[in-house]
Amino acid sequence: MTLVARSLPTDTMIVVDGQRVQARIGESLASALLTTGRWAALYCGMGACYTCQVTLDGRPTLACLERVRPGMVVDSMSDR
Amino acid sequence: MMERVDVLIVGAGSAGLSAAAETTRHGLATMLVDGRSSAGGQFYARPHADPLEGLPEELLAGIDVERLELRLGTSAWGVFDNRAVGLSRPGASEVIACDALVIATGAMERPQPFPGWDMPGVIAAGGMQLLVKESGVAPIGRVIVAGTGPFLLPVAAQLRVAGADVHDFVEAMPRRRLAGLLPALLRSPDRAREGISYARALRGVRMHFGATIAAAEPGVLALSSGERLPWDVLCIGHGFVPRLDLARLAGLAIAGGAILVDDRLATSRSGVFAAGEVTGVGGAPLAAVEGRLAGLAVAECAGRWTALSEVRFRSARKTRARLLRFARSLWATYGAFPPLALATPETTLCRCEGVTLGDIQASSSFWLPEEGARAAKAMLRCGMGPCQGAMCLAAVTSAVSSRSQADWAEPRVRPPLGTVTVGEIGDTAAAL
Repeated sequence: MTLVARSLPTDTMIVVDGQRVQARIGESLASALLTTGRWAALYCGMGACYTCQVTLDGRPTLACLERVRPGMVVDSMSDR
Repeated sequence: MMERVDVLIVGAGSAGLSAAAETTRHGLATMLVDGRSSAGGQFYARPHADPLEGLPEELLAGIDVERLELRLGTSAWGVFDNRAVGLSRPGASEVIACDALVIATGAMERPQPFPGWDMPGVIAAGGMQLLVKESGVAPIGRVIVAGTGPFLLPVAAQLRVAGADVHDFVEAMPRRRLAGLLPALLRSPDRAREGISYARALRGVRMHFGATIAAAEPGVLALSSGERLPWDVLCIGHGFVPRLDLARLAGLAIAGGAILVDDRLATSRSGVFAAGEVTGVGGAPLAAVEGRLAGLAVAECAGRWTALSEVRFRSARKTRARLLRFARSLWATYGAFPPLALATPETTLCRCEGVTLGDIQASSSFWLPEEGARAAKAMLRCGMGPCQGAMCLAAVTSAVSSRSQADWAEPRVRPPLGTVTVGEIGDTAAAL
């Protein structure tokens, strides 16, 4: 289920659940995850509901408040 | 040894930035923290840039960067005695002492549970707007913007500009009641122009007034009017509510769902001020002027008040009164729904723990009404998930009792707020 599409080209790679995916530096991590089509766990988008909590480089993190940096390693927790 | 600053401001949106402009201008060493990676809050969300780049001049006017320590990606997880505040960012945590604390944590989307609001593809209007503004994405497929409140108009307009197929716009308020806004709009020409620009941007969108959401089903949105609208992405908004978690943690008096402040923005706790939408939702310009007032009040407490401060204070107070009048006319027209207005027994109230209204009703015979939300928490785990009740407190409280939330004692909130690792907190234990 792909909910959103980018208007600008991607310029980096991040790792999501062991797979390399294209992303854009500075977009929100939630945006990068939504464009993969394999993740749709966004509700409030402003850090209140915790629906979008993922593990980023080993630490629990809200995807909506985080911006994409090259080489991020994300466990989307979608199998839990 | 605990680090000390003159002023600590939590929240770098319109209110926090304006407060920092006044405190630094008055020579006070100020730390400004925000969980996001850039300043400006929800309203000035923008593509990734330098923290202060792209913010309007009037918001930054007067900020003395020499006296400002801006810490982004940093959230407050605790408020302790003597205004010591626990701060954390990934990998590090510390406790900062301050003479004055300004809480400017803003507002969040009002949670309005309805059948299907926890389905994938249902996204809060504010969250969707942030995706568009910060990340340059647009929703795909057939988009519906639904709920109530003036905020839905700019969201729908911005989604269209971003290229989204906004097919339907559903506003619970009947069309004829929009006329109630006319007097306020005539007094605020800028807002009137804004309204006209939204009407232009929404040309061609099917408008449904006076209808509420009955249920979101896979691919179909059922309205109270009986209409059934196909959807791929559903943007929901029912207004905003103050974000009170830090205020509750600090033990501040709360009234009517907002931090109680006097006309100097001082809270019930000495040395603690609150500014912006945590004191009542009224938009970014009102938040900015409240930030100025709070910053000036802090300067007065610190003995830095000058004749010029007095002039600025009087002018800001007048502006605040004018903006409050406009905000109140909006509230009078749009009005909030009761927390369970759209919920059915099958509706999830506590999203974190998956507890429905029916679950609560079925077990309510096991507790006394006075035990209220606490009993529901103990028995059903409502409010024990990661959001700590931010999304369900109002609804669960309504579900356990017919009494209004105002009659209930404020829930106890304990540190840490948000996500902090044991390692990070361990570093700070010594300071406490």
